[in-house]
Amino acid sequence: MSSDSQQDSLAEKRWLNALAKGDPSALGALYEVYGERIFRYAFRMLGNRSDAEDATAETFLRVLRRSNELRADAAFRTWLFRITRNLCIDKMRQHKLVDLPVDAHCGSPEERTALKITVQQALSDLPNEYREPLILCDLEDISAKEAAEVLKISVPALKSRLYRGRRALRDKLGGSLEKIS
Amino acid sequence: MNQETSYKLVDLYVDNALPEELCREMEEAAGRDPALAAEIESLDEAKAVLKAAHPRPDFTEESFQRILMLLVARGADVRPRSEAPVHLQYQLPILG
Repeated sequence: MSSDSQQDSLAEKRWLNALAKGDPSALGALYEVYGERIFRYAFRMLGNRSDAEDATAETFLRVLRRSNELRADAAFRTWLFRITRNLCIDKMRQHKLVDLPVDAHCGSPEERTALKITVQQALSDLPNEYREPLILCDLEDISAKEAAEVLKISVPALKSRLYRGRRALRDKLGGSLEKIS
Repeated sequence: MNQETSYKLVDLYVDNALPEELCREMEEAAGRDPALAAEIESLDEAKAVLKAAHPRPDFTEESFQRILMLLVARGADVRPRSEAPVHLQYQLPILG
């Protein structure tokens, strides 16, 4: 473990202990540490800012509600992602579809933007079992081990889904791949 | 490395998960087999375009503050260490 991650872990332990004792600054501190990562993950899952903000807020509310049970160890971050994932899946069921992330900044010419939308659509069309490993591993750069824990599957199963997902995405894109690359 | 093995290792190669020696063998195999080279290239491209098409969502100050407001509205006593920027601190009532 690097000294940075050791310090993060110590700070996390301190804040979780403070939260369990009812210190109101503790939730704010945990939100400052993890808020951005949780928001980004929710945004990638849901495709729009408003729902991502809502899912992020709900995730931290659950941290507050379960503050007595939480332990500061490697599982805390995984647990946070898992809570967010479940909330996102519930929201996706309510909406029945995933919107494209229209307010993500592409900042590119029209033709490339159109092709990017094709890729975004291809990803959102994939079954969840393929889409989720791609979001966690290829977009959020989360390790296979941690992604497997978030999804509650084994590492080999995660890798199998990730690789199949990449192939499915490639097959969906077909000729668009040559244009966009 | 035989052809069957090289095709089995494509995903690990694309993920940079192979040891250096096997990487070299894969590259040699791809040099001999255009279909294998195309397979590697297309998966590399799929990975690259996925990332390029999904820029990192901006966690804006407005989003940071809106989430805080949602937390407070749902009963959480939450106090971040950093203060909100002045333009986000006060919400003036709209009159008229």
